[in-house]
Amino acid sequence: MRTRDIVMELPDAALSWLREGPWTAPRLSGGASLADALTDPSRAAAWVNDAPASARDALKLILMRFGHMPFPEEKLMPEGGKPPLGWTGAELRMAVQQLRRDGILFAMDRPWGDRLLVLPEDMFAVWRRLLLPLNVEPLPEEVWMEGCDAAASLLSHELIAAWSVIRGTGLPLTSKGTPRKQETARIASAMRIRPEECPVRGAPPAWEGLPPSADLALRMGRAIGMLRQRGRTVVAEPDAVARAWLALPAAEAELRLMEIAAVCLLPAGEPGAWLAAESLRDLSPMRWYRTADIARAMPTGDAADASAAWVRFLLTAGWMESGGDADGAAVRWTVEPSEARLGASADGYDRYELMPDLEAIVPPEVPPGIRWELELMARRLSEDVVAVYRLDADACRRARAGGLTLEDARSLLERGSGAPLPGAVEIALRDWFHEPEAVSMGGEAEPETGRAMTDAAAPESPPFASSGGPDEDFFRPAASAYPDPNGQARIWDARPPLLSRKLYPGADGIPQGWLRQPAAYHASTRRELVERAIGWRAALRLEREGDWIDFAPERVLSAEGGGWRAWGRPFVREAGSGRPICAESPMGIDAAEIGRLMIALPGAERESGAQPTT
Amino acid sequence: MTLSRSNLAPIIAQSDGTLLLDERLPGFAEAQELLRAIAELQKRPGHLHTYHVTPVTVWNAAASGWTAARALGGLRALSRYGVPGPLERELALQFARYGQLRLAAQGGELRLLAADPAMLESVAALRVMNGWLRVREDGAYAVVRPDARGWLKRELALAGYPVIDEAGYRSGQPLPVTLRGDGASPALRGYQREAVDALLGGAAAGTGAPAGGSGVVVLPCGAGKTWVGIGAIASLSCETLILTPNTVSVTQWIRELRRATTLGDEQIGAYTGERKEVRPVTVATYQVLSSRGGKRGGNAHWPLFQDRNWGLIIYDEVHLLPAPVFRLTAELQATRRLGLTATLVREDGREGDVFALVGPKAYEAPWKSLEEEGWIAEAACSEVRVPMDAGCAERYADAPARARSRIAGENPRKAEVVRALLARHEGEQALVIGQYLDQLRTLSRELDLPLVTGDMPHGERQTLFDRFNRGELRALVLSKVANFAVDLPDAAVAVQVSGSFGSRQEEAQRLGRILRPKRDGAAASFYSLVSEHTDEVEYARRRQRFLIQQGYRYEVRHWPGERSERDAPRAPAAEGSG
Repeated sequence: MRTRDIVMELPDAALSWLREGPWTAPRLSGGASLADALTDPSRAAAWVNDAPASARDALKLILMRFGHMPFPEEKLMPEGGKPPLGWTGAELRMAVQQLRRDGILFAMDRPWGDRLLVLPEDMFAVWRRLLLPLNVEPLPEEVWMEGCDAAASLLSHELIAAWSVIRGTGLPLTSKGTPRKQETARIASAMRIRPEECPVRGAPPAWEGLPPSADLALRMGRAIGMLRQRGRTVVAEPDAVARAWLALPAAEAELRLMEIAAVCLLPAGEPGAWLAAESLRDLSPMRWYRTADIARAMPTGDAADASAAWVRFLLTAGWMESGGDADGAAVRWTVEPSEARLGASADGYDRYELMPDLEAIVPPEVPPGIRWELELMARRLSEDVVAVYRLDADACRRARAGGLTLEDARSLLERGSGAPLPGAVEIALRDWFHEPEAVSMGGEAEPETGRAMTDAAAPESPPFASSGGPDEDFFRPAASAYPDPNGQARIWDARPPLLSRKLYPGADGIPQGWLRQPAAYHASTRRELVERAIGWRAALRLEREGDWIDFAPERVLSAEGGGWRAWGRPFVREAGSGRPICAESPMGIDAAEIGRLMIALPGAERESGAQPTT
Repeated sequence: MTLSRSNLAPIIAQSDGTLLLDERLPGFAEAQELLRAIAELQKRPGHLHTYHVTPVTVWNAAASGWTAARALGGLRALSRYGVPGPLERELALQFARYGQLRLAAQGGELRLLAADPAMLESVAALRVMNGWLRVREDGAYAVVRPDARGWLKRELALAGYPVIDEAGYRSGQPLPVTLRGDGASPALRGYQREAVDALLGGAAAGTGAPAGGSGVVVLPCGAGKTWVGIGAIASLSCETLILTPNTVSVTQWIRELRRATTLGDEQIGAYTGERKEVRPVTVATYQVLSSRGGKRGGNAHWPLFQDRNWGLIIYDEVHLLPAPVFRLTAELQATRRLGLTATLVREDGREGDVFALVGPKAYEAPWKSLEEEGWIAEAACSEVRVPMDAGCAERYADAPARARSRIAGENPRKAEVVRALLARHEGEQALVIGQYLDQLRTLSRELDLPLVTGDMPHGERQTLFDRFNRGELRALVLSKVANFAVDLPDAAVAVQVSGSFGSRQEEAQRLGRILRPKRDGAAASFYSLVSEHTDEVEYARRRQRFLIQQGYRYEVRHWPGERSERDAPRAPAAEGSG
């Protein structure tokens, strides 16, 4: 879910404490809306600078383990073994409360009582970039890669070609709701894409047997709003979102497409894949990086494993190209993958050159909307660094049959090329957009393509008419670009975050001294302290053989002679951040060895206003 | 999208070897020089020029002293989006390939030498090499069958292995001949001299240099390709065989040879269906050489190639070279070869064979450049849209698709347009050119103009051409015999009434009939008559593409009234809408 959607669903009580939070109130007083404040990248950057290390690390852990998928809080806590990043469970719980308070994490209750924490998906990339940047050194500029394959055509170009086929005649569905093979083959053949590299994930039953490239075109078309189902036909009718995408500058449009591709194609339950996809975007464009270096630098092992598959897709999508030399394989971005750097690469070459031989030279900077319009009247001859189209009689006649007038065609081409039409183009348009009634040889002049469209609309399956069946059946199973976790109704937790010992059940009922100052206790009391700490997954501050140590107990073991011992890991705190640095191996401390001790419960010191004297 | 490196760099380099050059941007001249060296110009329809890098262009560049580093360095510096990896690799590969294999005459045999012995082995292992090569046991070289010299080079070039042929050319029987230049005005124009020099390199007579001597020269119609051939003969001073598409062309070559050189009549022979003169300079037709029935190799005229010690063979209109002549050419690799053409576009796609067997393109001058310099006439090209009357339109509509082109081509109303155009250009000499003989006979009768077809005896045809050239005939009606090699220098107007579908080459050749510079410096006028609202419109558009890509512009006019599309006001929204 995205921040804005969450904010819209939050109950008033939650909105109220959120607005008063230390990281939101100042921005709201400046006039920003809550959603804007929460998604402001500068706020995120400031937070990363100033927030306690425990909160930063908790967020890092969330990014690494869950990405933006909802997760139960207990899954974040260490389950024995060396705690990730060292923090105790109690510290992580407190950090989660801080993240909630600061509008970074949201909690929802499910009907059967358990709780999920949610990191808004639109902030995943922002936090990942700030907290888990991918640090890889590019190869020197002069390094020349052997065996570099031709960069594939950009995905947006191929999708537009495929959607243009659907725009021409629609994609009729059979009575079973499946497309005909020859129709999907036609869509696939319009795309210059290696089908074996198209990831196919969770296709609905109606899509069974679809060529992978057609699957990709349909999936992406639906997600971006270019395609919809009308009765028994899939039509290419851009909705408002798609129109906005079409109007974007090319670089930005490609970036949006990349994000949508991730939503459509990356497995929702594999945060490593998401992390890999996001991390790759840190690499600088047009610089070569060794794939081995990239894998090594990935924040998690899962991400390292998943990065190869995503790189393969990026290569298929033309967003990366590959090469290699004696030292190994390398890849480089051919597009700008980072939104933050977009401005630098925009350069205003956003129009095509229309030549007197009826060919249009289309530079890569041309926005998708201009291509989408050009596809109406022209046939793609080649696709490389620039694309070459040729204005085509059949396409123009089809466009005329679809309602495009000569004047529309002229203005569309003039807008696309930014120049008056060359004479030969003007003449060709006049020929192709000529009124059939004016032709001296009667009805024979009716353009064949026009008839083809009429035929397609005929009896058996009227493509543009509703059949009365439920719309969108064809897409429904795959339509969820932003999946709703478990498909359940959401009940947002409106309770304010607990930033005190109240967070830990039973903490109010123990003597306050247990939390404030180390002291010597009877063996049975010492055991109770240890067990309490284990229950809260908190640390102990204890004296052992005259030395003070911090100790994260994991369990209590029986000792010889009816005694007991605490089993856990000693740790020291990093200067400055206070981050625990745990011992590699756990150890046991006999009850008799434990001198004075206290439970180090996060938040307790804040309430007492004093640090323990040890 | 591929990230732009430099917004003002004039080249866009593509993975497939296409290089687009924007003449409006700074660095154009430098970039043009680079691209001319490593690629070939395909078209220049507007301000974007399209070049293409092929193995052959790279090998040619390597032969001229270019290196991969220099070419890539230049491309990188001048390319807007950088140089795609595959193109870098291809350039490096092809530059490296050049010079790896050499043919040399050593020890009384023809040897294939390789810089890397492993390459010799892989080449010998190619199936197409079967029987042509024998690799010595020590792997130092391979002995090549002498008669396989041409085939070997062709097949190796096709397989991506260029061979530097250092086996030399035979000098041919010496033939003292010079051009009749008067000193003040050189016999050859600058570009013609450049073409001869580019072809021969250091192989002029007496130098004894083995390199240079075979290749293709591409010049627009009317730019004097014949003179390039004559210049080559004079430079080499050797006996020469000239092959042309038809007997009219044979006559014209002979006339030019007599006029421009010191050769006497007894030194120039015609070898055609009608005459079989084999002399120091012999001009023959492809047709007679392609005819079968002889005892040797099934070709009656093979001895013409073999039994005389030719030092040079000239292939006029080399894009028309028929397959049998290709085969004969493959076996004549010791003889220097010169191909001449205006359009190196073969409808059968065998441009590669021309490269391997005749030679690489040695020189090309763009049409518009020569027009700007006044070496060919400026031409105004018009397409005139002619409506069909009701009966004809009905016939067209009812006809099966295959019959429609002819009905549109023979639209009777074209006659009135021809009449009007001839009236408009009164005082200028004109050609009416068409595809269908019935139509041409009708026009000839109605307009009272002589008709020249392929059936007409050669002498009769030449008489009409001579009368036309003397100004005694104001206009001629010509069948497709006029597509090539008809030299009517004073023709200033051409009216094309019909043509063969979408042939770009035919359109260019027909325009070429009127491109000789006029005495008064006037422009030529080319009209293509097209039946309105028929398939002929699209065919015409396709025919015109080559010339448009050379920089020509067509104005479309409508008959009657000849309203120009350019003049026509923009239609209101209703016009032309669907």
